[in-house]
Amino acid sequence: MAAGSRFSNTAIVGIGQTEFSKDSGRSELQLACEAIKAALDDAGLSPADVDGMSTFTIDNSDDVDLVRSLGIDNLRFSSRAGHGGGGSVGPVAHAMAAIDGGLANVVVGYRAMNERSEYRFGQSQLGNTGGAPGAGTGFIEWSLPFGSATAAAWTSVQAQRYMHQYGVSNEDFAHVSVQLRKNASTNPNAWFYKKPITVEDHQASRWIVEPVFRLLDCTQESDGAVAFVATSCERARDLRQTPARILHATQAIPRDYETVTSYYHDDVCRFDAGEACAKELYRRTGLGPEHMQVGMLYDHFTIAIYWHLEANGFCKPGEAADFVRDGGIALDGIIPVSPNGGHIGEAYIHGMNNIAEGVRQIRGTAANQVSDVEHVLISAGMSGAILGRD
Amino acid sequence: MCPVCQSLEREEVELSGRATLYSWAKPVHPQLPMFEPGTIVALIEFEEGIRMLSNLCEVDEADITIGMPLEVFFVETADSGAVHQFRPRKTR
Repeated sequence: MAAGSRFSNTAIVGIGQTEFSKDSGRSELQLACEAIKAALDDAGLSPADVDGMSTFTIDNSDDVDLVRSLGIDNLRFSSRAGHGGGGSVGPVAHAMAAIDGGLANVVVGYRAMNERSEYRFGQSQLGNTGGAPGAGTGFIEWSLPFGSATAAAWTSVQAQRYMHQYGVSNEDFAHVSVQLRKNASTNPNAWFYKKPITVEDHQASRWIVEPVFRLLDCTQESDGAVAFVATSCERARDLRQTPARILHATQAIPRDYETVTSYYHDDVCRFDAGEACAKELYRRTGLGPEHMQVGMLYDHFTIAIYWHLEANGFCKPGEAADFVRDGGIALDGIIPVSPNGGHIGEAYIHGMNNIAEGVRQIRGTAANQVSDVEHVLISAGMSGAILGRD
Repeated sequence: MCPVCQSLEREEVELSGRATLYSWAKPVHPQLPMFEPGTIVALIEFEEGIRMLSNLCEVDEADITIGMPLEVFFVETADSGAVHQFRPRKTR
């Protein structure tokens, strides 16, 4: 494709990951080291090449410890992006900015978590009294006192309004879950490899929040780590892998927004953060939804796929349920979504495993490879990116 | 700070306590300590335009409809404070 100046000059050249499990048996710091080393090996680079690093504000592994453990000479650039999984593409945007701006030559992005064996990401946060800087939510003050204490409960309040406004039922959501589990069933790296489900399985799973989410509407909790390595397109051309160019990456914090408890903007059915990302990505790249062959859409709950489809222009507001039922997100659909199985099917490494899959789809090396992939949209809500061939 | 005019001048304004139900949900798993099973989480919208989370009480689940008129009442908390709760509006 044409290398127009409207695109960033940064590419993802390496991806690495640990196995995805429920009990890794080792520290998050070790998982981070393993994933970063694997990503460097994949790229044909070494720790000595790394001079930049980025992760989430809420990741437990520090840059200083990783520099010491991996044997990196010196980081010239280090950053953390906020807003949990919604901000998961933030490290991609930061890597792009650092490399395009000359702050670093080789930036590593990572997310490492034992969120099943060490702590329970989806469990009650009633004991959470401090909150994490950069999390971007008021749930401690405004939700916990009223018995809304889990990610499922927070999200269900927005979801129920959407269901009311557009006449959507929990049975509609099943079709999202069935498709993602179908994708995972043929991805050997997925936790739910060879474990597809039916609509009936979904409808038989227990309620987590009535009448909104059943168990099979929720993503899983996983142990594992994923990392990526980015560098300039010039250098990328001399490296081992087909570069996945970051055509653009962005963050979004729109007016009156809150991470996971965004109840205060005009129309709660509208995913305004996702809309802001899409607008910026399409403006900067001159591309639109019709140019995307794969959508890596952040699925903490089934309904989130609807919100991403609508915010990014794959269908109109309120149409997503029918779009999904009609096969729009299937591997041979209008916009194949998360061929790896997404978080619901592959693993929940907080968005980072979806970024890695986006890179594989550009390379043409994914387990469920979509044919002729030129552009991949990665949409996490408060951050997003478009990857392309160099 | 006021997001519209950036003013730092504050005053307390008593709200009507009249609201409508904007959205709701009933978390059932995990059952939380200190909360009754079946607690309804409600996103309420005051007549004055402010939204906030609270609880919807004194209603059968089958009778809950988004947009239904609500009124505030207060219950005592363990530390002798008070917390707002909502129920279907009985007046007017």
